[in-house]
Amino acid sequence: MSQENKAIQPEPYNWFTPFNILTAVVLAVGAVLTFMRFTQGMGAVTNLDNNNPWGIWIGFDLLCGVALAAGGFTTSAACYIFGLKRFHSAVRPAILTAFLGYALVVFALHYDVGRPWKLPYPIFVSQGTSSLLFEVGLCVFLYLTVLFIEWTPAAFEWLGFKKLRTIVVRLTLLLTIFGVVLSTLHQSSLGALFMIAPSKLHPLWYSGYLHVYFFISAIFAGLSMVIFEGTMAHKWLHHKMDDTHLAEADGVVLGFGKAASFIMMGYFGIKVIGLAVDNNWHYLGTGWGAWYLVEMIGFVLFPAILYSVGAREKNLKFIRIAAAWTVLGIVLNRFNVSLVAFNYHLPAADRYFPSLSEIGITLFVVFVGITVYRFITAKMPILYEHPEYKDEH
Amino acid sequence: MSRRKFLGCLTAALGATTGVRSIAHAASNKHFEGYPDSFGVLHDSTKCIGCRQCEKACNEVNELGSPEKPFDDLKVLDTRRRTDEAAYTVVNKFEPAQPGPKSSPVFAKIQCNHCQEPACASACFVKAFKKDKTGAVIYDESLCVGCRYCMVACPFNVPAYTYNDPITPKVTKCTMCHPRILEGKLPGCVEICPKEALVFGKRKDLIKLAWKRINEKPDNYIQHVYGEHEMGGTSWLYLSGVPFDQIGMREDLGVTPAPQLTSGALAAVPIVVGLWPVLLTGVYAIAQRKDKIAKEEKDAAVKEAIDQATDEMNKQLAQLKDKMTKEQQNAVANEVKKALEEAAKKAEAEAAAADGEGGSEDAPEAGKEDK
Amino acid sequence: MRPDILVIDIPPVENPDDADVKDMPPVFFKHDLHSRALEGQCSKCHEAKEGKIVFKFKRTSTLSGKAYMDLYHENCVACHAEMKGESGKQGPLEAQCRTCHTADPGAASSRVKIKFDRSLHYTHETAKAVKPADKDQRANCSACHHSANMKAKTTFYEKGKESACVYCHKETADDQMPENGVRPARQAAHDSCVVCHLSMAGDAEKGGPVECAGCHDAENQKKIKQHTAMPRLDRNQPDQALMTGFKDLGQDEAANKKMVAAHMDAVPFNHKLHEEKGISCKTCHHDTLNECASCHTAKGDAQGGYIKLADAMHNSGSAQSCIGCHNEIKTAKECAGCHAQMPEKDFKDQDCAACHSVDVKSTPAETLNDTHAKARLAKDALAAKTYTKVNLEDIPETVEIKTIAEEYKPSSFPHRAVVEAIFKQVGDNAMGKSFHKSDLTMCAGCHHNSPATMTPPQCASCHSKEPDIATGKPGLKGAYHGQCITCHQKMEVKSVLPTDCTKCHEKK
Repeated sequence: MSQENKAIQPEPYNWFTPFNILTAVVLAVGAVLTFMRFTQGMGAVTNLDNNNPWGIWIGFDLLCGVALAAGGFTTSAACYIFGLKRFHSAVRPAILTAFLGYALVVFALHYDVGRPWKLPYPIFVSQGTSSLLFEVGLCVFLYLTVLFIEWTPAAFEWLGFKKLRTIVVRLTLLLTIFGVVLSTLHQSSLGALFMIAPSKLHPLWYSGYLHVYFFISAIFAGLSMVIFEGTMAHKWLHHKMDDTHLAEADGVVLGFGKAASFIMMGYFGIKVIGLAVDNNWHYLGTGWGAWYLVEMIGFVLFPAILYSVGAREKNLKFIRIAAAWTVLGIVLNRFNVSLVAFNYHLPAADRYFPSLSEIGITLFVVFVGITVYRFITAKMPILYEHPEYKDEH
Repeated sequence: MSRRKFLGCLTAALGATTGVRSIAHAASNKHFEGYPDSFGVLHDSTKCIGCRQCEKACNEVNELGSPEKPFDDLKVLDTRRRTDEAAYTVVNKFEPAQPGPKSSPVFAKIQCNHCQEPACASACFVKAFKKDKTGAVIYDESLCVGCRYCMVACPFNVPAYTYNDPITPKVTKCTMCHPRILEGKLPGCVEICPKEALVFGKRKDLIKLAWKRINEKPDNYIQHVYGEHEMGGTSWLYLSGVPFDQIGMREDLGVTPAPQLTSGALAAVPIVVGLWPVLLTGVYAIAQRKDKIAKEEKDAAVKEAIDQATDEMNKQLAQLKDKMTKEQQNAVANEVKKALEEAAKKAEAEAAAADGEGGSEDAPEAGKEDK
Repeated sequence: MRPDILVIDIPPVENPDDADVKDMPPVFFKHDLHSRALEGQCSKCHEAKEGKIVFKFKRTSTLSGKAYMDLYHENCVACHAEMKGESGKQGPLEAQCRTCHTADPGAASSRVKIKFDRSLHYTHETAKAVKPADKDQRANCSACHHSANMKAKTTFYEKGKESACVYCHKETADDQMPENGVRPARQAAHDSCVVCHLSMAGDAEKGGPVECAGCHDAENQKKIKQHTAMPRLDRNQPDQALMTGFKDLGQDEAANKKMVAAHMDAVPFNHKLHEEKGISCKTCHHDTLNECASCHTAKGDAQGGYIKLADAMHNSGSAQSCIGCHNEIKTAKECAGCHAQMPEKDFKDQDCAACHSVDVKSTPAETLNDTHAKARLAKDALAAKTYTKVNLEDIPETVEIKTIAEEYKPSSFPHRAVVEAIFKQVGDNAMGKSFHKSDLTMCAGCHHNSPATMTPPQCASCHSKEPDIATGKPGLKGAYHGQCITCHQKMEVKSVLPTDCTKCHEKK
């Protein structure tokens, strides 16, 4: 593939595309809901109650947001630690997605916690070190900082701060290792959050290995998200990509697909071991068991096989489908742990289902993310290399 | 084994090693037996008549405002309730499992059980909950961020939240009347209970009292003091004449204190922090070294190829040179010859015609030169 | 509500090859519907053997598996087809499987067992239609009662040996043959009762029911005539018995002394009184009419199910033991007001002399070997029991309870009225009288842990304001409310609800 006319001619920008109009609507609704949330309280916009203190703002915005932002540490680790230079072009988009993902998680938390201005408290005022949530908070805070630093070179290139950029680039390895450590810790602790409530989470989802499950599933969630997001970017931002990025893209998809298939098989294996350790086989015959099998076979084993077939046959389409499927599967798993199988013993009348406003705020957060991503990829060297810094790796 | 495969397995394996369930206890490495001489309350549901006086007293002590239906309206008991932001304690009525002439409804009171090792305190990331030496689990609103993880963690589903407060929402729950205890008074509910179904005292004495009652009237009681061991023990203890799960109290909570449930995951933190950088740096070094060796090999091969090419070129050049020198020499010789011949001719011509004209010169063709 | 539903289901097969016949739900057969349709001609379905109808369908012996199934299919369907011609109504035919095989749980039988109690027994005793087996006999016991020669498989009447049917005809599930090889109770009853009733069918005055509903419908059972005054069933039982715990003594005086010394004082037992209370013989004599000690030996052995004589009498968990049965009676609302609040005494702390009141250490051996002499001892001992009444005038009429009045005004307790009500409810109760011995005992229901006097100490002299956790003693509030409310609850005093505070004390 070659791309002529590399010089980007500033065409008159068309503001009235369908997607832009949709974005505008979602953001406007979000603004109204935000106003309601902070003037009338959470009760006015959510279906949360005393039995169900956590809803989709935690189940999706936090749990899925963090898991799907795992592409940052996996890609940068693959490129900088494992030395797989051919993925280099995927690192920047992945880091950006991760940074945005984490930033949005923190943004969304402002809606969910009662007193958002106290979010720094656990780190700076009163440290509840026995809490898994403290571990999550501290690591997310530190990792967000790391991601920010990892992302600055792109901004510096855009702004032309050469010296600063050089300093940060020298720190790459250190930052990457730090990022992997922090990611390991908080990805796993998100699962471990639920280990304190064995009486509320259905035995098929509760496990002493919940933190391990969350960590490993976050790895392939990250890989899948990189593929998925790459696919989306290719569809919409093709003109922003340089030759290197385009040339490496297929290799990234194949390589990541293969890696994801292995890790997912491993994940499936340890889930089965977990089932055996707790001797929960008999639950498989119940309705919950059927739902569990939907998750495990329909959304882990099936995409894993699809990935491996795709990687073997060099079939990019398969891999792309598998990536989207896996992303859905991760969302399903996080929903199951935090909402569906949580409080499973309560009567149906006491169970939680999100309100329209909650879904609205969640959509709002997602669209804020997409908009910022579009802005950054339009302005900064994310999907292409800055001409001044070519051949630097 | 390809590198990718290896990495996949490595990740899985390492993940598994960090997840080894440790028997260490979170936040401390010994089992906390509760503060000595801490207080508790014994609720004997066989004595409870469901008069809701305790709810009323609680409401007054904590200034919770007047409820929708007055406390002497006992029809409220017909619907199952839980604690919420406006009621720190509620009494529920349970119809007997086998209705008969001799069986009457059983009443059970719900409020914070003030665990020995509270799940809420273990879960709180700003230490807004504290197990006090009196036995009360108290909550500090000024620290609370409002994440509601305490509500997720509480096995008894006790804490409630003021969801409708936009700016300063807070968690609400029974305080065991901590301020009153400090003044030497009884908790409000205990003080008012007409049947003394609630007894306040030192937890260890209450356990003895509970077993004394069970042993004195074994037919009247289930042989179990609820709260003695549940979730590591609670300050609030219960006696019942019917199985506890029939009066809305879960019997499947186990005896593990909440902090122990997450201690394994917390124990993985130092392992990861210590092990990961070392491993990853190792992996980096291996990858780098691999790259380096590959580079060296490549460089050597390139050098060899270049050397060979240079030799070849040099040979050709030498040959060319030879050829050229020869040609030059020939040319020179020719020139000389020509010159000589011309000179001879000239001389001849000059000699022959001293009055004749000179002819034009032919420049010799020069070969390419090396630089 | 149908008490006549029989479940026709293939008996559990021993041969698994026949298992394929069991793929249909069972049939819920409405017996009365059919017997009416057939105008009571039992022989349409039941065959006779040795002149007696066998209450099995179209057979006299047991069948199983396919043979059983085929028998029903052929005969039911054939009869249904035959009936078509005679009337408009007709049962399901060959291909209408699901009409019979409904597995409809709604069709479950509402059959209740019939209790052949003393009153019903007396109805039969006095019925002229029930004739003795032998014309010369005065009483008609032999019409039903019989003994059996198990070897010769014959039955015969033995005078003075009548006892409950279930002693031999064991009650089993699904009419399975019990281990002793004697027809199970249900079968024996139908063979005897229904056949006899059929023989008098049409005599509405005298004949008994022949349909299922006649005996097994709860409503019909209520219509059965209840006699109030009946003579005792005479099996030569004593009116009073002296229970010593040992069998006959021998000639060796030292050995006798040792034997008597090894036992508690004897218990005078009022057998007649227990009979008059309408207790059926089976309640205590659960397996035979012999005396307890004939099976329950002092050490306990196989015949008595390894239950020692002492346990048979004292085991509070068994309805057949004295203490167990008395405890059960004490749960009646009249007694429960006091007794439910008292912890059951440990066996070793019980007042043995309340029952073991006859000292036989110096009683001569021949007296102790003579049933009649022992009965006289028992009778005298029972006659000597006294009961002290108190004068109602001496009882305070109202008591002001005001020691802990805070939120409410003092309570004006109608003391005498309450006492009277209790005396009235328990006063004529033979068991209460026998064991309370005095009205003062009933005072102790409230004035507990203090001597039985007309001037018991104040509650506040023992109960402090706050409960004592170490001793478990309630505080004053708990004591008052515990006593009053619990008693009201147990005695089912509907007029004073426990949560209706102002019934007893006005709000300040």
